[in-house]
Amino acid sequence: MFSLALANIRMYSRRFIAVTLAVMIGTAFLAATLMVNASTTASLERSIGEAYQNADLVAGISPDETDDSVGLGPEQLTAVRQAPGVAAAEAQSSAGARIETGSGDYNAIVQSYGSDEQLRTTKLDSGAVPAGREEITVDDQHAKTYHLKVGDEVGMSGSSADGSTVDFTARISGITTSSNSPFMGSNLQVTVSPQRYSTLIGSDPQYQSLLVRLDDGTDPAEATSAVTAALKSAGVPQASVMTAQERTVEDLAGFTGGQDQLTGVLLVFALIALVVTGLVVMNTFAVLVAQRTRELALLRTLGALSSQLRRSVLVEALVVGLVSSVLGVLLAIGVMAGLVGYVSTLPSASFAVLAVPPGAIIAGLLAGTVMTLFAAWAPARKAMSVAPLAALRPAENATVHNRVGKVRLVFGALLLLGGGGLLIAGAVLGLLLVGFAGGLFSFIGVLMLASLFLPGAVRGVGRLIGGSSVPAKLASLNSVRNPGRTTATATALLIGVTLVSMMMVGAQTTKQSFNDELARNYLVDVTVASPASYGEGFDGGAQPGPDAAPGVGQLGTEQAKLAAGVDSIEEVALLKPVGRNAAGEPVYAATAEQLARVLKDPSLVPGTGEVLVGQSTTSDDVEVTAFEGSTASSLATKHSQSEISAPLMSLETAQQLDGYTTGASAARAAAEAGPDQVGAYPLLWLKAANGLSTDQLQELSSTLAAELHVQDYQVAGGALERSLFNQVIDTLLLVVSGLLAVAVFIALIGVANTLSLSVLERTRESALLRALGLTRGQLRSMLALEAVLIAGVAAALGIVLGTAYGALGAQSALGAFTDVTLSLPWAQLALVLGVSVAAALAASVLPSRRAALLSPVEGLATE
Amino acid sequence: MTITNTPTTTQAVSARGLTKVYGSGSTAVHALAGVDIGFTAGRFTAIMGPSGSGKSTLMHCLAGLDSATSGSITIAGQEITSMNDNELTRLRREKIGFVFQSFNLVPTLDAEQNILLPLQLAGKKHDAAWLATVVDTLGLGDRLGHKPHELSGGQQQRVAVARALLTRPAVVFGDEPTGNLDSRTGAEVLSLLRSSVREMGQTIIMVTHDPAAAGYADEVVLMRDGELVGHLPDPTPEAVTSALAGLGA
Repeated sequence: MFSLALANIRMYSRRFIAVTLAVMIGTAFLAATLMVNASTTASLERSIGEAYQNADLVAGISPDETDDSVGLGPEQLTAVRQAPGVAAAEAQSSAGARIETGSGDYNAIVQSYGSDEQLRTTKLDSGAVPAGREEITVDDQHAKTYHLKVGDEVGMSGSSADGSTVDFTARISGITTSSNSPFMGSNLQVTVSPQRYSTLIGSDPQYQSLLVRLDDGTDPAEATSAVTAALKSAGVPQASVMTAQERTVEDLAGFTGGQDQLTGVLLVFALIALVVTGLVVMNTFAVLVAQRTRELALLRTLGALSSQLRRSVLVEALVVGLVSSVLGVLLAIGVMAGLVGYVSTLPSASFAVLAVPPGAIIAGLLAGTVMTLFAAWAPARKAMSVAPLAALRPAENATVHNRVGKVRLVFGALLLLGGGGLLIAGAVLGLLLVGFAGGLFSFIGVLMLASLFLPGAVRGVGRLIGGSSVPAKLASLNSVRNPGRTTATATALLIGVTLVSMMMVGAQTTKQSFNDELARNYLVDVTVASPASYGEGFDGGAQPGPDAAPGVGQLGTEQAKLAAGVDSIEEVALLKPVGRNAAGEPVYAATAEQLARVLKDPSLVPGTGEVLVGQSTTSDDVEVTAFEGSTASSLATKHSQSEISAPLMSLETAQQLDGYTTGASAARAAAEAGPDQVGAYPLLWLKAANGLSTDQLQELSSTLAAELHVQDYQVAGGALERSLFNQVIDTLLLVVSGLLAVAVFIALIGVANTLSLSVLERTRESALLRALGLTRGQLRSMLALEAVLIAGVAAALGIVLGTAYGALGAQSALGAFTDVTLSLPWAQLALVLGVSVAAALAASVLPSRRAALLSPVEGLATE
Repeated sequence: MTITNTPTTTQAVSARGLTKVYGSGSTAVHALAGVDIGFTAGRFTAIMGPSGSGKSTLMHCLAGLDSATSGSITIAGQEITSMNDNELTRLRREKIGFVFQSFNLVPTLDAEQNILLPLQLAGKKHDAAWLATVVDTLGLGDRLGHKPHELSGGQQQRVAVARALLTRPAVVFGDEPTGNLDSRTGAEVLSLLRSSVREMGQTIIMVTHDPAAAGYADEVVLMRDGELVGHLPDPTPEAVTSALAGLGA
């Protein structure tokens, strides 16, 4: 029977191409997912290990230590240095600082340039070691990005834990190799001399860990206990001393938590791809067995046991599954090697390495093979039930009737109803987990019941579009000729399309809901805050406005004019602090006319005697005192959904406040905060042009910052938040759709496969139709229509289902936080339908070509 | 007289110098080695010969199902060897009817749909009275709504005959039309074919190796090794058997 199975594979090798492709892609997806995890871990290990590369031992505080006052400081470092067997020890420590280069202000991680050459983790590329208090080194990648070179002078400022601040002009003495450590983030990497470092870290420095180098020939185990003992005597009862290797592994564990989630998510997608693959495989084997009914019956007549026939089919599945899985794993390795190769050329990820864990290979091979065997099980059982007499009867070409198991029906209906109920409950109550479980159960229910409604839907749609044309009528009849096969083919596509549409509708609805929420929260498109906290260091770049205190860097009418001159800025309002409310918060004012122009909702302009407040204020009136006034005025509140904390009134109202002035003394009074008060500085509120893209808004933001000489972070507002948020959602949607596209692609291979097998099965029928007067074109259009019917109906149903899931899912995920506005991405959904139909048409090209080229005489001669 | 070297307009189908060669060079097989033949309209002709004599190939070429290597074929006054596939297809559905040995019907369509298939493919309306006549003559009135797998072998062949007659074709080709039927059912189908010639003036060309079937024809054409080797007017089964024996079959 084994030789028979192999002979079958050889003989019908063309029929296995599609199924091999499908299994290969599904397996490759799974294996690649596991390799992504292993490769990221390996790359991280490599980059984390860099920090400990030369150390023999790493000492730290045990995570079990509960006393917060226990730490590693200079005292402990000295104790470790004096421990027996220790050649050298260095503190691993870093401090934060800001570096001002003249063109920008950047965060930096500062380390001390170590004295022990071997324990030093930074390598000098060019220039000299930082000497004295005024010299620093920077890393080469950031030096390149920020155009820094040896000899340049930069401003460096920072504050240590004990509250002392440092602000000085530093000279760059050298350039170091950039570290890949993930602990560094994207910060500028700076080293300074130990003297300077001590001013940055403060009088009571706390080190992250101590790097220890041992004398040659010292036993690490003995040294470990010696260092532990030294630390204990220095006041650290629970030290954790381990080798550099052990420490790397431990640090890694802290980092990979998030990655396991990523792997989990990817595995879900791989699983979806495998389920779809399973459906395709099942279809293929069902057809292969059906085609060989007479051959199998002949074998039965000649004395083959039914179990031998079943085994023969399973051996075929085993060989096909194994070969496809091997190809799939190889494909995964190839793709991953290419990806890692590309990533490692990026400067920030040069440490990326490919890791191919044995687990990924085994899991890939096992999943691919077992899935193929599993999918072939039902067809193999059918092969077993072939009666010997079947060989003697003419081939049966009648419509195949599939029975739907009663158990499956009941279970499917229960899952659908129960899951649907949970889903709706989750949406109504805003419970994501309930909604998720409901969605999952109901979708499984839908799939179990698919054979009830899919063939019917295909038949109905076929009848609708079929009309009186014979090819169309035949196509719609043929597409449901074998309801079981139609169901499996359409189900494979239904899964992918449902999930893709769900993501699209969910993303669009989320975006719409958040945009509405942001529109309520943000009264204006863009706000610019005064850079007043930078005090004297601020260079306004323009004469302060007449209303601003001289010498104090605040926004004024000059800046308002500058902002109005920026492209895409349509309206500008200058908000000046005019007083404080009872809680000490500054109260702002601008002319009602200006406010009406910049506010997104003009009805929110506070009238005379009114104060506009955010959602946190619920009272009906508010007490406001002008900066130089003595009597508080009680004003009515006008409520908004905004989260702004600063109350706002019109200038007309402000002028009626007791003691209102616009002089410099008032500005000073505003800037000087009283006890428990914050300083109050003018703000600019801007209205941006409509319909700007994310990139345009980002550019607008930096242009504003540059023009007004403020920092990027001082420019904010609803428009920016919205575009950033939309960008995040769009990127996520793109990634998820890309992952689901694999499943859709496999399903479309299935459509092509089903069609080409049907064509093979119907060779004689096609020949008869050709003899009776069906032209080649009509035959081709008949097969194309068959494919389009199955794929189109599956895609349309998937879109409807996906829309329902997406809307209910968004409601359960967001309902608790905000009002959800259902919004359908019509263009995207139409694209999904279009792509499915177009791909089905493409899938029909090869099979229908083969069918049309066959001459009627040859076709009629085949059995 | 049906065998003639000068095809005339009274002939439904005629062929001149028809050859069909499979392969080339030393392995070439001449399935048809220069056949000249004409079939008079309104006659029932049987083509007979031993296996490999080329009788099926002749039929396939005459019906435009297969292309001849050389020679010319005329059906209802139209030269068909120069036609492309679409023209041939149109010719088949309008001028030719077929009754095959087995697998005559499209399994997804019921009997009536199968009968109407060629007309619907051509986008033409059927003549309801003619359909009623044909269905009535063939005794299919209560079977029209049945799918092929619900019909007996004889009923399936009668549906195929009805389909072939409905277009009033220039010629009906039968390829062993009774090969799969028992003798009584076969006799019924053959009688129907013969009466369609007698009563409706239909032209029928049938390939068979059964002398009893050939006995229903107006005349028998004998073939051997791709050539015409004789003909029997008004054949009886006995005369056919002895003629075949004379061919060394």
